[in-house]
Amino acid sequence: MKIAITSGKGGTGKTTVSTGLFHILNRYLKHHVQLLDCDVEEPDCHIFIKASKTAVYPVNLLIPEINANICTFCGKCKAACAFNAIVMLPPAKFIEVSADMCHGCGACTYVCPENAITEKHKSIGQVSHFDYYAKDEFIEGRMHIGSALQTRVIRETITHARQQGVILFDSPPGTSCPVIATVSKSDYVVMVTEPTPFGLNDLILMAETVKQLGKKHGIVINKAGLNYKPLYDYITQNNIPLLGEIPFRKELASAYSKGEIVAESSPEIRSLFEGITKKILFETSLNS
Amino acid sequence: MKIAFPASADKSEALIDERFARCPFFCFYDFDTNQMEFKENMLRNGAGGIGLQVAEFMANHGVNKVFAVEFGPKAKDMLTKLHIETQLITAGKTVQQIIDENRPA
Amino acid sequence: MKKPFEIVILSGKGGTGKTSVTAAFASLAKHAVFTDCDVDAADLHLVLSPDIYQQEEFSSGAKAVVDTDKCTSCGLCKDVCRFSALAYSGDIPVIDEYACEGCGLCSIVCPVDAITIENYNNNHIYFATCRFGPMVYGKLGIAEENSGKLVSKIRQYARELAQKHHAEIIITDGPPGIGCPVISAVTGSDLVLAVTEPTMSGWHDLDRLIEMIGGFKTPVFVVINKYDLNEEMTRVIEGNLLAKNIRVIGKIPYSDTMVLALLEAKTINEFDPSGYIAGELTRIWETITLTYEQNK
Repeated sequence: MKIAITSGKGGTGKTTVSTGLFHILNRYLKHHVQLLDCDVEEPDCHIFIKASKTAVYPVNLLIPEINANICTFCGKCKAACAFNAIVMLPPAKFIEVSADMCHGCGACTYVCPENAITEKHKSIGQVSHFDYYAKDEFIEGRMHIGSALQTRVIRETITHARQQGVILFDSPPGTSCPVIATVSKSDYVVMVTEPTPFGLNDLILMAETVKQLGKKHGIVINKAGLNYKPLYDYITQNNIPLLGEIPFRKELASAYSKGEIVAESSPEIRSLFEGITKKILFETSLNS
Repeated sequence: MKIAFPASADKSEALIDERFARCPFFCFYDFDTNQMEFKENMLRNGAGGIGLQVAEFMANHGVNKVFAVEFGPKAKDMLTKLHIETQLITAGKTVQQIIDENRPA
Repeated sequence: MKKPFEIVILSGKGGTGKTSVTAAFASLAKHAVFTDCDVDAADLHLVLSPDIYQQEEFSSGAKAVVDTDKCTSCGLCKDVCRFSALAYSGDIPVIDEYACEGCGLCSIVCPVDAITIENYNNNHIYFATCRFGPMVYGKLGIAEENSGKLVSKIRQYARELAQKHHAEIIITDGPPGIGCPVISAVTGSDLVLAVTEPTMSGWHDLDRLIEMIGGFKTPVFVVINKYDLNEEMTRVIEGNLLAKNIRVIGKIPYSDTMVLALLEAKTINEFDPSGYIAGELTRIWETITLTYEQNK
């Protein structure tokens, strides 16, 4: 069972929910659970899940190198490159691939009639495994700063997921391709929102995305307390299961700010998270 | 010496354009023959990597020095690799002014 | 015509109050153009309530399309695709449009020309007028590639609008994260204002953002929002930024005002002009304009 924790808007509490679910499932409900941080641009789960790193796997891209001595400057590689990454100046016998623009698709290598192109690994990120309660249960994808290929790092991270038990994906915010890379690999989607106009606007985008992908889904309202009626109306009208509400309290915000697992901040909050977790398990069991 | 720079229109009294890779026209001026030529920038509407392609365009036209209000980092690196000098100019000047001010002594 | 001064508001981590701060600046700035480059979750229009007078479609990606009548099921396309974007459903290749990057290699290898690469036009750019001035913003189609091309295009239009309206400043609500859309938002801008919060994740994300911007030489100022939620963490962040020679130009306390203003679709400076937060935001804006004046 793969569950993606998402939010259209950033900062609504996605990580609070995913680390909370992970903690509750692991510690109290004794589930076989794994958490994958797929927010590779800004991976934050490790701040809350304090565990030691056991292994690091690089995420590589194959970048072509063109040997100007073999190259006949026929221009086929340049014509094949959809990303405008090749610069060629025949009189100067100059030809080069810009590693920043290259997507590593291999089109240039394929079309080169002279075998003048060789491909080399370029690291764009890494996937780390952490030892949490003596098991490989927390995995983090992290894109290198300056890279722009976040989706590639996410796909690679997801390949590290186990095939059984409960797998949680902490998704990046938004609804664009990195989110799709995460959500499309899940069976159930938890959408975290907050009761504000921004929260609702972005929740609607998220809900449309999830529906388009045909995924079963539910909502968690974080920072609840503000009775923002349009949000509740939207949830009722669209018949989306409300999995639970986490109240806005200064002490929860403070626990979060210190990197503590919010779900563990008081017995009351813990039982609230347990309730949300059980509801998600119930919803997902209906699915299978 | 042949220079090139972005122009907002294809005439000598036109203002220079502040964008380098996405400008509408390039003005080429050859100080050896005193020939001025405008070329429409067909690369400007490309999706990405335009700076690189414009650098290549300059090299293919035998340009020795390029002027612009601002260069992107990728374009600048590529121009340097292609042995083309770069120099910054201030916005608000005309094509003719740039040519006159940079005429070699 | 002088190039307008471009300010981009970023945060690394989402939800730190970037859009509320941008909106407050909108009500303080004179002769400015506003843009929302958080195209994945554009929210600024909810506060600025712009009137759209023109819109256009924008393609930010291309994807492979298979003509199943021509396809001979040879399987070459599947073999060469490095993005695992092709799978066979029986004899018919099916493109995973979310995985396809539009590189076109499948179309090159296809012996019967059954694959074409087509542009997707799911994105929109809106030209509008709001009560503070001209605005241009974008909305990414669902599941579209947020490659930064849409961001670059919006910024290009913003510069054109600025020239037309003789605006001196462009204020941009930027995207979260540090990936391609953020790189496109920073490229060519004159100042980055990073809005952070005093949490460990807020700092972790800001630190990565600052390192990313370091490659650009664009100056960075920081505002710490909700600073009183964890004053110790606020001091840690201030210390870390001092060591990096980055100025903290303002600290905003936590307050309901932010949300209450939002519920009325007002900026904080419109909702509670004499309040402490409005005063602090005004001071922050003055620091920014001073920098701009010195830059002239």
